[in-house]
Amino acid sequence: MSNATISNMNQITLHGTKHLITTSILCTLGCLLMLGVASPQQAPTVPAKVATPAVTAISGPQVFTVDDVHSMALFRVQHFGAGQFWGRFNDIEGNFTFEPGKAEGMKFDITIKVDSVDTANDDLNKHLRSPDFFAAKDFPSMTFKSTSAKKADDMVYDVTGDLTLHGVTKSVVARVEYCGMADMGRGLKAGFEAQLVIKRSDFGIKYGTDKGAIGDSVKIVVGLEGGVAKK
Amino acid sequence: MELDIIIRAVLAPTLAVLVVMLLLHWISNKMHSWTPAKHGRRHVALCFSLNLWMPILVVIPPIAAHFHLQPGFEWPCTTAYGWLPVSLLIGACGAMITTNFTKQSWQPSAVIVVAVCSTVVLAPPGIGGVPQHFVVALVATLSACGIAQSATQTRAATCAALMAVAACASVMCMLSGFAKLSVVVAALSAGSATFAVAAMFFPSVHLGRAGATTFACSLTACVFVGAGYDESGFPWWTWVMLAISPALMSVSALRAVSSRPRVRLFAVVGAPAVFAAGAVIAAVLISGAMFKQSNQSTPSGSNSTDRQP
Repeated sequence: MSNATISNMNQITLHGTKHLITTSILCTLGCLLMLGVASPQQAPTVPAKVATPAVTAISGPQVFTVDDVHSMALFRVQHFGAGQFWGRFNDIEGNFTFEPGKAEGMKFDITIKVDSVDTANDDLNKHLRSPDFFAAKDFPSMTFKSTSAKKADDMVYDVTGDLTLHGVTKSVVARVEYCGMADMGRGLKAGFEAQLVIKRSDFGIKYGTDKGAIGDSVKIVVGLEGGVAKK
Repeated sequence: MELDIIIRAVLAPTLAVLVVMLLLHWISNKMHSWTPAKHGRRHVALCFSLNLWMPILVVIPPIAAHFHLQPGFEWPCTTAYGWLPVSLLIGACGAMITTNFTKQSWQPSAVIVVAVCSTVVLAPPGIGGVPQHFVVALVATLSACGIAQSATQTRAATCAALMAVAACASVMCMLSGFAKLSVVVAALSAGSATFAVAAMFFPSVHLGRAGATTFACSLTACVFVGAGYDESGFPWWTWVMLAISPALMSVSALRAVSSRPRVRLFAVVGAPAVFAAGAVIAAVLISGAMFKQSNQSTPSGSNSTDRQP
C-alpha cells in the first residue's frame, strides 16, 4: 500500500470521527431538549389530588361517557382447581352518572362486547367466543344497568343492577370504588373500579363446571374512566 | 380434550347403542325363527327389526353426548346449538316414517322433506336464511342418496366411511373453536364405527335407506351449526365439502367401479374420507388457523381516537 493511500485513509477516518462526534453531540442535545419539553406534560399525571379543586366546580350529577381506551373489564376464574386465570374484554362502552359524595342519582349503564374477549391466546379466545362459553354470535354483548346505589364507605358504593350475560338477566350487587375526578385540559373525567363475583352457571355458562375443571365462580373487575365533553 | 369426557359422552352412549342393537338383532332372529304363518308374531318381529330402529340408533350417541355436555333442556332454545338434538330427533323420526311408508323411488323427495323438517329449526347466526336452508337440504339429499347407494351393497365399508367423514367433521369443529359440537360429531362418528363392527359379524346389521337419510341429515345439521359458530374464519365451501362428501359413495354404483371389488371398496371408503380430509386441510390452509402464533391476539378495534397510555 502506498504512502498516499494511507494518508488518504487517515484523512477519511479523521473526518469520520469528527462527523461521529458532531452527530453524537447533536443527538444528546436533541434528547435533552425533548426531555425538557416532555417533563412538564408528564408531571400532572401523578397525583390525583392536584386536580381536586376541579371537583368543587361540579354542581349536580354529571353524565360521563365511558372512554373505551382507558376502561376495561377483567375476569378471573379458577383453572383445573389450581391457578387463577385472568382474561379481559377490550371493548367497553356506555355511560355513568355521578356526583361526588352522593349515592343518589348514581347510575351505570355499561355494555361490554363479548367478542372482544382477550386472553393473549388466539385459540383460547376462539373457544371463549364459541357457544361453549359466551356464544358471542348469539349474545354479542353483556350489559349492566344499575337500579339502585348506596354508600358503603367514604369512597365506596354498593351498586345494585341487572347484569345480562349469555341471554340471562340477573340482579347483582357490585362494589364500586370511586377513584377520582379531574379536569386536565381534556374535559372533566371521573374513574371507578367495580368488583363483583358471579356464578357463571346461573347465566347458563356451564362448560367445565361439572368436575370443577373450570371454576363456576367468576370474579369480575371493571375499571371505568369516563369523560364529559368540553363545552 | 379430556379422556373422561370422551368416555362418558362418546364411548358410553355408543356402547349402549351396540348393546341395544345386538338385543334387537337377537329378538328379531328369534321371532323370525318362529312359525312364519302366525301373522301376529310377524308384526311383532317387524316392530323389533333393526332396520326400523336404525335411525334412532344413529342419533342416540350424538344426542346423549349433547345432553351430557349441556344438561337440561330449555324451551324454546335460545341458540342453534340448543336446537340441535331436536333437529336430530326430527331427522330420525322423519326417516323412520318416510322410509317405511314410501317406495324406494320416492327416496329423494322423502329425504328433501326430512332434511327441510330437521334443519328448519336451526338458525345458526349469520347463515339462518332461506337460501342457506335450501343449500343444506340439497346437500343432505345428495349425501343421503350417496350413502343409500352403497349401504345396500357394502355394509361395513359404508359405515367405516361415514365414521371417517364424521371424524373429519369433528376435527373441523374442534379447530373452529366449538369443542362441545366437536364431541357431539365425534359421537356420531363413534356410532358409525359401532355399526361397522357389528355389520362385520352380523349380516342383518345394515344402515339401510332410513339410516342413510338419518346420518346425512344429522351430519349436515351438525356441519350447518358448526359453520354458523365458526370462529376460525373457515371458507363456507369447506363446510359444504365436508357435508357433501358421503355423496361420493355413489361413485361405487358406476359399472366400471362396481365390477372391481377393490376399486369399489376404495370408492366407498376412500373417496369420501379423502374428500372430507381435503376439506379440513383446505380450511386450515386457507384460514391459517393452525399457523397463527398463540400470542398474536390483538385487541379488537376501538372507536376512540385517544390512544395515549
